[in-house]
Amino acid sequence: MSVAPVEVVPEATEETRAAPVQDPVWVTVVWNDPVNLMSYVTYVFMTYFGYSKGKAERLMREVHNLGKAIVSSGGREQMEKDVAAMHGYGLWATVQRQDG
Amino acid sequence: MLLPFQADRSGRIVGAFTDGQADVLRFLLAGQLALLDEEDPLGEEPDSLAAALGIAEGPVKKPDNPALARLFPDAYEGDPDEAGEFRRLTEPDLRDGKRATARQVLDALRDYQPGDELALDAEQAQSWLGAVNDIRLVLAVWLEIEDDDDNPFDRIDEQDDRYEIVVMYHWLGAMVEWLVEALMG
Repeated sequence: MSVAPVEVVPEATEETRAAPVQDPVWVTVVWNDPVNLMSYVTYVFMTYFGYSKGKAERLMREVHNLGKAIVSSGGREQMEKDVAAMHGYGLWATVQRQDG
Repeated sequence: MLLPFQADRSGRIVGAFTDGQADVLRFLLAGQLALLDEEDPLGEEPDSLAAALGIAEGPVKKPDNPALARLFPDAYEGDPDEAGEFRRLTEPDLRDGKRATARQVLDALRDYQPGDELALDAEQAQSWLGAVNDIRLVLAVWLEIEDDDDNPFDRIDEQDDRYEIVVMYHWLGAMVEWLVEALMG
């Protein structure tokens, strides 16, 4: 069911240690559910995120086939806004911190 | 049978109900509005400051009613504190949004007579789509649909009290398909 994004753990080289501390990246995860129709989920991704039909369908299939998909990423506040919007549309979504 | 909603040449989305279908939809919408008033995080004081701000005062827990829990799922998995805080800040607005779309559709159906043509602009069609989809989510909870391959027609027959709900569930699904198709044109 789950599909964790491939995590690349950089080795602690001089360069990475010196890198500026960045805000943690947060993601919006949409989970598969047996009720929302595939066409509707695609429509929501196109309408809310402004994604192309191709991208929206690819994400919809990822949700459907793999159980979940990351549909947006960024600051925590924006992700909470996105998740609230997904709940508004009736999709099952969560906010997660993208570690690694 | 419900006539499909379709986009006409002017871009409006037109459709019509026959016989008792508008009544069924009114019934479902009224039920949805009643549901959305249950376990309201703003409590019993609609005039409070919290209500004016649309933010609940204390922490808000996941609703006990499974249908409400489906409409307002936890935003943070495995973290009840964060999930509760998210609910405190967002659930009142989400409830209001869902109430508004349900009321909008109910209003449009108030004087509806079977066979009348309904002509929706894109914004209205989006409200219809949201309201119908939300009702579908709630019916699925009552029908205990928990699996992609679960077709409730396979396990609930005409003798079952829930058979009517299965029929409505499929009917609303058709409406969602038509509205999405008309909106995406």
